[in-house]
Amino acid sequence: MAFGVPVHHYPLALSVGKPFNEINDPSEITDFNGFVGGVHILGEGNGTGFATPLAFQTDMGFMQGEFIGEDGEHHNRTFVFI
Amino acid sequence: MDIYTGPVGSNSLLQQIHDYSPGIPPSGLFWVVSAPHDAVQVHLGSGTASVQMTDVPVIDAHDIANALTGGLGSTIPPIPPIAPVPATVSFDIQWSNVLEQAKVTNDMQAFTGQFWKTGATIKWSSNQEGFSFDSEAPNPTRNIYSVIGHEHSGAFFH
Repeated sequence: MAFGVPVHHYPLALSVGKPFNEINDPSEITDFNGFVGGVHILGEGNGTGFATPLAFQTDMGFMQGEFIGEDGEHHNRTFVFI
Repeated sequence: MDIYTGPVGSNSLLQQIHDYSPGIPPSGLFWVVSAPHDAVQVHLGSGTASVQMTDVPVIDAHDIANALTGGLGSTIPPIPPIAPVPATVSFDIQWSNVLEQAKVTNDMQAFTGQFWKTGATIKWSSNQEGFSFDSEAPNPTRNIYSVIGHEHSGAFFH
């Protein structure tokens, strides 16, 4: 829960400092069989109206493969976590 | 995808000025969009992967509190309500340079798989009425944590 809202996501930042074989599930969907990826990057860039660089944070990922949908059927799709 | 005032590493709620996400549908599916199959390329044998998408429709909720509450803000900490506005984002994420490999099994989270901890870079941009953002060139030193792998979860666990 965050701000009273259920959050179905394990931030990669929670895995920093833990043994790699104890990472949290990087996938945003369950009943899933496929490729998964996650990335957490801090950087900077330029934004309209700002004379100095702005900071950014990206916590993103992907899922590609088979999953069981809410309809109970097996599907094969690609998803991106933004 | 979040933007903050301040130097690299600034990521406090009070410094946040943009928060891009696809939103949360009634199903609870969290900040996820369906993508073309070829938007994602994975080569676990070489420890590489990529995600490339252009002009993905999202909402800018201004900050994480308004992103999660649907624009209702927060009382603790005090964050004023801000209505989301439409935006688009484009991004090119590259995973490479294997640092560690492990088989992971987590009974509590009901998933198992083979995973590679890697380096990663991103180049991304956003566009909306009155504001656009263009990130710095891909920079491997900005990576905090990156992983790719193949997993089985839920009904596919074990």
